[in-house]
Amino acid sequence: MSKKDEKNVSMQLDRREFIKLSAAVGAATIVGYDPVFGTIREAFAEDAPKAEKWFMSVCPYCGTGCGVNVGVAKGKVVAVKGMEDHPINKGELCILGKNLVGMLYTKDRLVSPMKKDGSGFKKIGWDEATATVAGRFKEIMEKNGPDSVAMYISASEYIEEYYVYNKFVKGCLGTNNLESSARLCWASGVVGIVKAFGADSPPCAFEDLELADLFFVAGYNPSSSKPIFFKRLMKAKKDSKATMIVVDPRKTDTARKADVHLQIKPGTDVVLYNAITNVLINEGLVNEEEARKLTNNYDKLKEHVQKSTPKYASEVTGLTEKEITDTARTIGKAKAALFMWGQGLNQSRIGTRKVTSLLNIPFITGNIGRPGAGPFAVTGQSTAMSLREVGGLPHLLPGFRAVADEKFRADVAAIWSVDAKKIAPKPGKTIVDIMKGIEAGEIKALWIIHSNPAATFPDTKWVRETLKKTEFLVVQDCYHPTETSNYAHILLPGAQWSEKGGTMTNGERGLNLIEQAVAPPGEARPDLEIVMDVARKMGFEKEFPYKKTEEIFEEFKTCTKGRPNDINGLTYERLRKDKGIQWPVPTAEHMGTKRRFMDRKFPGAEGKLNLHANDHLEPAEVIDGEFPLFLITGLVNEQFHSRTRTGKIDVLNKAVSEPFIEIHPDDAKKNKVKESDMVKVSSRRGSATVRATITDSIIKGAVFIPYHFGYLAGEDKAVNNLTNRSFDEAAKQPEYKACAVKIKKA
Amino acid sequence: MLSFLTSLFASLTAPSLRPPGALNEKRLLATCIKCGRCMEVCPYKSITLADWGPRYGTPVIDPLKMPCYLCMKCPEVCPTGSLRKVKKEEAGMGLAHIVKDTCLSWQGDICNLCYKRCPLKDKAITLDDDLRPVIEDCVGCGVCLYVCPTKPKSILIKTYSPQRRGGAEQNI
Repeated sequence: MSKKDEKNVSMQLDRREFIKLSAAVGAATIVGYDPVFGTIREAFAEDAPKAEKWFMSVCPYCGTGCGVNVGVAKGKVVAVKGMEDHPINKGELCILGKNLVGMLYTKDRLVSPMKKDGSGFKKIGWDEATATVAGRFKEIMEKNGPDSVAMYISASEYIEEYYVYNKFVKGCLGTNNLESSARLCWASGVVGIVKAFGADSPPCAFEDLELADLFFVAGYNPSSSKPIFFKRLMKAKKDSKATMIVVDPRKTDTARKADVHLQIKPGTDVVLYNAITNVLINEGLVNEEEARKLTNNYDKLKEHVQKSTPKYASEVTGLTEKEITDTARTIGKAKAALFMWGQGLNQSRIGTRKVTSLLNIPFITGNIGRPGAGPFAVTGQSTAMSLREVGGLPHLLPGFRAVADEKFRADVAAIWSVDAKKIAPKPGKTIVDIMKGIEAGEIKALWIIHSNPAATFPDTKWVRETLKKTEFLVVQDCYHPTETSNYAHILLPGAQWSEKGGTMTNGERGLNLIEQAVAPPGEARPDLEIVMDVARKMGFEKEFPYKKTEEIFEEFKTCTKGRPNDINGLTYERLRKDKGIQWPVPTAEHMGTKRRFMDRKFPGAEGKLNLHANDHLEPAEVIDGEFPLFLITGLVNEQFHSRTRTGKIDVLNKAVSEPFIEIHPDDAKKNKVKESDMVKVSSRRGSATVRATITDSIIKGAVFIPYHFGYLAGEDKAVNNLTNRSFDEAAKQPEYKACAVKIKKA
Repeated sequence: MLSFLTSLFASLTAPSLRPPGALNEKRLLATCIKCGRCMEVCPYKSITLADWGPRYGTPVIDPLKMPCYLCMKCPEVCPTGSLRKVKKEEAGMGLAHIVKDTCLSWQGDICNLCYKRCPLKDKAITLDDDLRPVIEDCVGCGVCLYVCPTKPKSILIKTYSPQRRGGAEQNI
């Protein structure tokens, strides 16, 4: 049957259905159906010109890494469809993936370099732009030293780009101030993993979903953040009759599908996990001999959790004792349990503590190094895993090497053919410290690539004032205006997904190839070309001899030799065939590594895992009489981050066009707020006016506002007007999930 | 027969919903004084007044332009009781129907915008074990129709529902 015939049949069915329905209810009308022409006209409308050529690619949104085919006609991307033979999604896509084309040809694409001219911007040529950036950076560094400049990148770039940025900043400029927006989403998670395992080592694979009989999901809402992953999880749950326990102060769409929902008070996770550990140990659900063999500090943890009785935990978390002991028993009896977590744990002042406390549970119950078991953390941004491998963070060098280690610096310097002394031994500044550095006058120049701190960073007012103070701010982005680009001195037009090629690693360590399908619009260029151009103008010609991204990939491979993420068995050619192959892949014959640590030898001390005896700590700002409600920020399914991409897609904007606040009915009654009223939410730092949604899906005493809207949506629409500049004690991740607010009908 | 023809005419010219809590069509047309207060109070500007035909001047909602989010502010201000003060679960505006042939979630992808945005989530629309949307106790607010991303839309809404039929009479 041809495609057209299929359409005809489905339309007939629709009409038959329609007639049936109409007949059933007399002359009732059917809305959404223009009875004369509407459906017919729509059914025959061709959405887009037929694609002439298809390119292989990966969806650039979340860390699931779904394969897509990109259809091109007349030099433009016209269609995107799921890749049928991709192991992750098997042709399926979520609503963001379905609408990828929409982000490419928008009115606000930045298509030529611009320079700030008074209050506006004026177009300049590429030569002038790159020469200005190179000149100013050189000048500032000569006067104030290399640590006076910094680069802030996103966590959605490709491996090759991270590699070039890293080499440029750490190997050429001689500063470690290369920071990524991954700081805002997975910093605590990764630091927690490093503390617990002894190295950054995500062990699991998506295949483990089908093998587990218990899913423990903490502060994580994959139903909205990773729909394809969640669909696979739900299918696995149904097929293997697995249990799902969700810990979340909100009744998220994930919690709605759970067997047990533990609706805890915001920020009390450490107490809950310690209490679960307590029950596991005291009820003999832990094989102590095995646990001692597998972990360090078992006895210390055992002693520490004695005070975290279910009774105490129930007072702190607001759960019942039975809920806590039942959960512990379920975990203790599970054959293979997967532990997943997300921003609910990470985005906190004690994010690292929460993560390590959660990791104690799989470690003592032996849910590690077996199929279907283990801690499984799927990153939110598409290439946050690549970022860690390539070391695009202030303390890392390629191949999970710490910058503080002299031998590692020498290794990398040899590959980069730069002087080993050029790479500074001191870890660079995190974005928090970069912002503080700008305020204190230590950081003079900042280069932001595809990131939008003026929308995403807590305490917008402070961030905007700080950005204004920057002596020289370069913003490289696909769009203008964004919340951040308004403050730039130089704007560089970068390329969007599909307009540049490269490789990316997804949340299960799987590598995928992205082919460049079209040329960037106007004068925009692939981002690494821009950075290399500036580097060459600063005198680093011999460091960047690359003509193709493949050459960069080959050089990065040499950095991974003998490292955990060894990918020397991969080439672009092989990636075209072996989609989503998981590192380590040391040789060309190696078929990739599904699960790590199957031999139960870990990188930490004595080859064991580390347990952590953590204490609970209240959020930096607690609720009081004046500000009686906890503010939780989070995402919605239809938007992505600061909406620079999804904000231009009609279908998605229609669904969520403005920020809203979820309020518990009791809190609404107390504050005399009714459904759909505009509500003024205030904290000690600022206010936002958003529409009320009264729902019991949020725990009493807390409110929820999605974080996608920056000040461009309206000065009083940005939730980060309210959030607090409090950061995780170890990972410096902002505490987006807890600050004190009050609400009032506007 | 005449009433049938009138309603058919109305259905052909203005396929639209009535605000939540509306009386059945005959009684609504008899009692509504066309004051427009419901339109004024609507925070989403969902309600408009029909501009011609037998429904002239009475409140209608075209969910393709802007659906009803069931905030239930309009029955509060209705001076004649044409819009009854009911709970949102009893708004009785219509009944949605999912066209599985074109629905993304039923065809193997995953979308579920209708479920995610439904004001009566897990009551009006639920997700089955394979994460496909299923209509349950729907009141026909039209949000699902509004957000449905497919072309043609994979949602149809009948302007009739068991709730609205309520007492004795049938809609339209």
